[in-house]
This record gives sequence, structure tokens and C-alpha cells, in this order.
Amino acid sequence: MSNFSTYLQLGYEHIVSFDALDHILFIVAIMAVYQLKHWLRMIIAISFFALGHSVSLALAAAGVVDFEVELIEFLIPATIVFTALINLTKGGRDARSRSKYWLAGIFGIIHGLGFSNYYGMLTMGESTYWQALLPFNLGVELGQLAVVLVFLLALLVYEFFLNKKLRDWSLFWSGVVFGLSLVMCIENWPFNF
Amino acid sequence: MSVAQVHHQEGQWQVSLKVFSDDLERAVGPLLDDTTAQADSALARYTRQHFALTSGDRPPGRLQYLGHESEVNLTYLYFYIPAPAQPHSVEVKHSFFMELFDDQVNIVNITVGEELETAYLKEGRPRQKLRFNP
Repeated sequence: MSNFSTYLQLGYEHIVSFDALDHILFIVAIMAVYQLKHWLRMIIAISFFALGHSVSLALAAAGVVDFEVELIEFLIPATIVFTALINLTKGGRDARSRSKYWLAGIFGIIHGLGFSNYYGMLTMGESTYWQALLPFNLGVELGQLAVVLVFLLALLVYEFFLNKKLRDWSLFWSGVVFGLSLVMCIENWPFNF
Repeated sequence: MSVAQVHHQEGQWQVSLKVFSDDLERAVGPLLDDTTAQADSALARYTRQHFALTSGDRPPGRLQYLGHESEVNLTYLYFYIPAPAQPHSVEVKHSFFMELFDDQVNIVNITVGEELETAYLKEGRPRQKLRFNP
């Protein structure tokens, strides 16, 4: 197996797994307010999330990432809780709003920092930025794309066969995401009080 | 997760293996606070149990453990294994921490001359054969 495809597979499996539930929940929270006709906006929002990751990757590659792991592990589900709550507001539900893009980008940086442990592990000897981190990150993005496609398929079934009310769809998924990520927040509470 | 770099040099597989210190301590006990000699003896035992390189039909060469280094949350283990002069294939076994974690992934990058091949090992598949062009 080539070096590139190994790290690509590693990144992909890192996302398409139950252990990456936080990542998947955030993608769902971002996508929950869109209908199929908003597919381009969805892609833009997810691209901003990927862009946020890439910023973290660049920071990690430059060796300037040094955050408490416990704090990051709490902040990641906190961003998901926040996004799910935003979905309940009038502005948050508005599929035309561009604030979702920025939210996805900034929170993408925080989610990317969750990988900083892996960045330190992956770079070794000849396996430096181009040989390890780049294919790993590409694999992560491919994994995200797979999650997006599955969610779009579910939305397709919902829109064509079950119901047309986006509000029900959005409320349902935002509620699911809120509940699960709140539990993660509590489990990863980093403060001593 | 762990990553190993293996170089074929001077009739040896020269290996440096990078692991998360937490995982290592969970596998072999809180060694890193112990004296280095005690720590190394337990680390060598665990490494011989979970890492092997077998070339062709030859019996597996005995792993010679050299030592370890720790930095922040990572630990490096260094060792070598006797190798044929010109290996055409090698079977890699690397089952570190698979007894502890279902999702453990171990990557082994092996360089022979200019050629780099990679083994991707996980629970249920701790061995993989790699081939090299002479």
C-alpha cells in the first residue's frame, strides 16, 4: 500500500466511525436548516468547515498549536450545542443567512484542533507534511463528504416521500444533535466546580 | 494509534516506533516514572511480544531493543531486527495496544533503498506482507 493512500484511508476512517460522532453531529447541525434546493449553500457551509480544519492543519504544521486537550474536547461539543441552539432562532433557521458559513469556519478551526494530537503522531521521519498530514486531511474531508451525501439522501427521502415541512426536519435534527452533544459537554466538563 | 519508521540498513531493520505515552503506560504499567533500566526491560518484553518483521522463509530474527525517549505525550522506542541483505518481501506484525483498544491503528513505513511501502494494521489484521522490487 502506498504511503499516500494509507494516510488518506486513516483520515477517512477517522470521520466515518462512531468515535467521530462529534464531527458528524456538527455537520448535521450545519445542514439541518437547508432544503435540497439549497444544495449550493450546504456545500459552501461545509467548505467553510473544511477551510477551518485546514487553518488548524497549517497552525499544527507550523508548530504553533498548543492547547489543553481537555479544553478542546469540551469546546468541540460546546460548538455543536451552540449551533443546534442557533438553529432554533429565526436568523439561524434562515437558509439565506451567511452567518452559518462563518460559524462553520470558526468552529471548524476548533474541531481541527481536536486533531492536533494526531498531527504530532503522524509526522515522523520522511512522513512529514506532504506525505502524512495532507493525505490525512484529505481523507477527513472525503469522510465529511460521505456524511454529507448520506444526510442529503435522507433529506431527499423526507422531502419527496414523507413531508415537505423543513421546520419539522430542522427541529428534529437540531433536537437530536442538541441532546447528544449536551451529554458530550457534560462528560468532557474541564472545570473543577 | 502508532507510527513506526523502518529502514533497511547494514543487514538490519532499524526501527523507531512512536506511540502515545498514555497508551504505553496503560499497556505496560506506569513505567515512565520508574528507573530507565526497569522501564526498558518491560518495554523490551512488550515490544518482542507485539512487533516482528519476518523476511521471506527465514525464521523471525531476534529483536534487539535499544531504548526509549519520551517527549510531552509521545514516547519513541528504538530497536533493530536482523534482516537479509536484499529483502524482496517482509511480513510485518505490529499489534501494539490492540488488546486494549478496538479501534487501534498501527502504521509501519518501511524503506528499502529508495522504495517506501506502508503497512496499515488494525484489530483483526495485525499482520501484513509487503513486497519490494529488487
